[in-house]
Amino acid sequence: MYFANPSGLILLLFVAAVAGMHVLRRRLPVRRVAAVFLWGTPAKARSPGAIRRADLSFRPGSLVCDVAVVVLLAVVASEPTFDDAGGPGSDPWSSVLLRLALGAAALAILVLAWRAKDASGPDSVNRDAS
Amino acid sequence: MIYLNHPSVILLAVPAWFAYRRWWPGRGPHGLVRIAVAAVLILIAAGPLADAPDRGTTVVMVFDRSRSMPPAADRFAKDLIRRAESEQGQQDLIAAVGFGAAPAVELFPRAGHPPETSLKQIDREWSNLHAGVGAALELIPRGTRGRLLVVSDGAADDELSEELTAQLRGRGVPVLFLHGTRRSDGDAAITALRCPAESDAGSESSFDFEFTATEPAAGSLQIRRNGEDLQSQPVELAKGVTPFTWRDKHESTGVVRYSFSLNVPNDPTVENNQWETWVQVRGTPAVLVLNADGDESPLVTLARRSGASVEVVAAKRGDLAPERLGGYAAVLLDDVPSSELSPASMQAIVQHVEQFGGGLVVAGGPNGIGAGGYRFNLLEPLLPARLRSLSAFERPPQAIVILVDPGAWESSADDSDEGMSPLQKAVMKLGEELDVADRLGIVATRSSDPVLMPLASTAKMSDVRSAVSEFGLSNDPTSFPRALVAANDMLAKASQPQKHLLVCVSTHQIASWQALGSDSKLASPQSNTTTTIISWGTPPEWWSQGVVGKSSKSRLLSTSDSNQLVDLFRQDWELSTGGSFVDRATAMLAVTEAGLIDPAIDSERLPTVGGFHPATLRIGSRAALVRRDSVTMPLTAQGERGLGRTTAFLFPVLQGQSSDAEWDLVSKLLAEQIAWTARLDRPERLPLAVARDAHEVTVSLQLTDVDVARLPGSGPLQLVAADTNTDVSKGGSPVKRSFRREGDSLVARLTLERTSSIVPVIERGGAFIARCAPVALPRSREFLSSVSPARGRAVLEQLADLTGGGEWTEEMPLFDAPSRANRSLVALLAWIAVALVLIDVADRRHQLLDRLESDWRHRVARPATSAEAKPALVTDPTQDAFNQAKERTKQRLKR
Repeated sequence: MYFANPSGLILLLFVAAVAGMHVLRRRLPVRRVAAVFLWGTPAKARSPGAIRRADLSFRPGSLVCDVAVVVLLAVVASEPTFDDAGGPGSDPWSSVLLRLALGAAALAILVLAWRAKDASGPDSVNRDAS
Repeated sequence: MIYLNHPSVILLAVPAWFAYRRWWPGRGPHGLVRIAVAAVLILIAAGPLADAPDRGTTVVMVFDRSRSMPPAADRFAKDLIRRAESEQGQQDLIAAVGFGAAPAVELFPRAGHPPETSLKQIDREWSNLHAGVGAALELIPRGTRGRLLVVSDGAADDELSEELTAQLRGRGVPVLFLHGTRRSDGDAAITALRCPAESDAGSESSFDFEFTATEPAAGSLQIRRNGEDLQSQPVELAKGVTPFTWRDKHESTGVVRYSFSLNVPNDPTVENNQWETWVQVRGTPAVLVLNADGDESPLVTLARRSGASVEVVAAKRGDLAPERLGGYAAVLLDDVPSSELSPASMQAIVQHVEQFGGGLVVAGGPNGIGAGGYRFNLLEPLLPARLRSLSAFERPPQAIVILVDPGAWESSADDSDEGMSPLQKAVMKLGEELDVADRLGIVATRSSDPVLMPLASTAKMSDVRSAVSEFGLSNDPTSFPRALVAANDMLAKASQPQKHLLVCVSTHQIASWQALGSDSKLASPQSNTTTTIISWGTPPEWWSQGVVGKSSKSRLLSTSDSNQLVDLFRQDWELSTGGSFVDRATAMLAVTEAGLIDPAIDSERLPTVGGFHPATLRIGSRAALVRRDSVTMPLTAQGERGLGRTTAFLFPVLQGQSSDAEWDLVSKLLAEQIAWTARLDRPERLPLAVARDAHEVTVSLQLTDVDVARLPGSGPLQLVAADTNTDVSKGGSPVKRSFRREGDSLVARLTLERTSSIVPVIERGGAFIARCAPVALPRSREFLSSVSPARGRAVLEQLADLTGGGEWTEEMPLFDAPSRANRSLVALLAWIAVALVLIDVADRRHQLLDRLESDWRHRVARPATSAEAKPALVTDPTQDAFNQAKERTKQRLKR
């Protein structure tokens, strides 16, 4: 097997961008809020501050999934080709199946990430925060 | 235009849509991103393509450069490259690979890349076809269109490997072939020769030939012995095999080279009509004496007295092929200057001693050893004594002026060593050799004052260093005459009794300045001045015929090896000072191996010799005679070098004024030393047999006739096979093989891979035991085993079949016609997919889409809502601020 377009591996650089988005936190503006809710029940004491803490926690599983997706797409971009794949311009099923497998794997991993995200529910505080 | 290689893959969008709805639905922009990612991945799997410009064809021509190809093959290759260049399209590329023992790229597809053949030569004795095809395949970039055109006879020495098979199948590069063969009709050949490898002196050997011919023919067999025509025998060839026998009587001992050539008119392949073989003639051990004129000399008499059979040859005319030397027990150099021995001859002598276990006796005199320029040459390391220069007490002081044209030596510049060029290093080394009483001056061809260093002692090397550092500064080759005048003036003013001018110029300059060759001033400006001219490259012939070349006080040297320059300078200086030969009578003293006075010899009865070479014994060497007035200075020295033995007589071997009785005493001593060097004390002949079968050589030692335990050395016997083409000065080492017991014999086997011969030597633990007859392939290995044209074609067809290629004919085009080409969009879509994933991650981690949506609503929707809210707020101006806030919250919740 060889890479027909090895420059596609440049996409691996975006692994750093993904990791950065997972690890780095955005500095939020300080808001002065009333502290009355502290005397209420905890269930009702939902405030934007609480939402932000949950949202910005570091999730290694999610990071691994996103990095894996970028790596798979980098491999797809570099067009792995088998030696018995025929001459230039040909696109035999071995290459199609490989691309299909890589794409499916990427999608499956993304779906895992999405479902993990959705598990907190569309009505989660995360969504409400915005 | 965009195409899909596999549009059916798009059907995967249907199940993907249901999966989306069921398991990972997203709302608004989140859902759009998810759908987009899935869509792009499905598109990637379908193999999207777009139109692209034609990238042309890369044609790599693979040329068989082995000797077995027809004589016109090289010309055909040139014509084919020319044709390819004329047919080449704008996008097409051409490359050429030649192969013999190894492939070499003769033409790279990328313009401006120098061919590999400019650096290495193709060994035409082999035909590694598959290696050539593999190298050619690498020149076609992957993913591009290309083809290989192999021009070969298919007689391959290597096999088609599995790796190459997989590559040929996988790359989709078709192999086309053009089968080039020689004409076979009318061919005659020597297919076999049976003759003994060894024979006894005085006996007759039978040479039984086997000739083959494709049709009846009449011809002759030309026979040469040791390079000289011996006779021509008429031969009648029948169709098929014709036997033929010839006999020869061996008159003397040694190694004889027989060359046979079958001459048949209109033979298309004359290369297979040749056969060469070596025969070693055993008998009384022979020594070869090389002297000035090939006549009898005292050393020849000594050699005869030692018991050896002696052959005397003038040094200039001696055939010093390594194989021939192998037939002699020792080589005796009788006052021979090194200038009469070619570098190849010196190499042969070194190999004879170190690798073949031969002997070397060097006798001194006014022309030999130091006076003959042995210092710093190839033979010096062989001598058992280290030569030394004369001090200013032993010779007159000398003034030496070096005139250099630094520009002439720029091509040899090498800044890697101490930041100095070879020329600078040579001058520095010479400065270190000079005595404090000597004077050195340096002049250079430069536009300003040519004198870099006036005549001065070299005690302060910093002066020499600063002078040589100015080489090349404002260099002006046209100022050579002015520099020469300055150099002559310096010498004229010098007070030293001996003067020497050393001129370093280029061949270029010599050729452009005709007057140089006939310059009488340069040839001999003064009676006590000698001149040496060293040129970079080979000087023109006319120059050595001029006044300078004919003058006895001038020497012309040339070199093309910058590393040789240091030794050339020192050798020249050595000779200009008299060659470290002291022309003064000295008395002898006999000593034992321990260095004590030998009580068995009355030293008073030893003769006085006419001169000597100052030297010191090397470690491991011993002296039998020393100078009586300086007992640390040997007059004879013996030692072992490699497998061989060497002896130096550091004085002229002449009877001179001594009486017969005195001379008889010393000649007995010297004869014993010659006998030791030539191993005449061990005339035992081992029952050795050397046989060659195709490329394999078998050396066997019959154990029934020899007691191995009594042989010299310790440990197992080893066969050392030295290739006669080995460059011993570069440290080429011979092949070693162990003996194995097979029945009543010890057997060792070797493979002949080259046409050059090998001399098998048996040793044990570094001790020489025996030397066998030289053995070699009888002719170029390309013509030893004939491959039928059908078999050669089958090899080429196999390559073509693997790749969907075939036979190429000259009517066929070399390049593919331009066609529509496609460019894959997979990489582009993968980039898009990664961008979408990044957006998705940013959304999940930082609510990117929510924020964008919020910002958008804030900018687009807020003006409308505020327009509606404002009237409500102003409807009841009596409400306080708290009520207004409550109202705003209610309205916001309603939205």
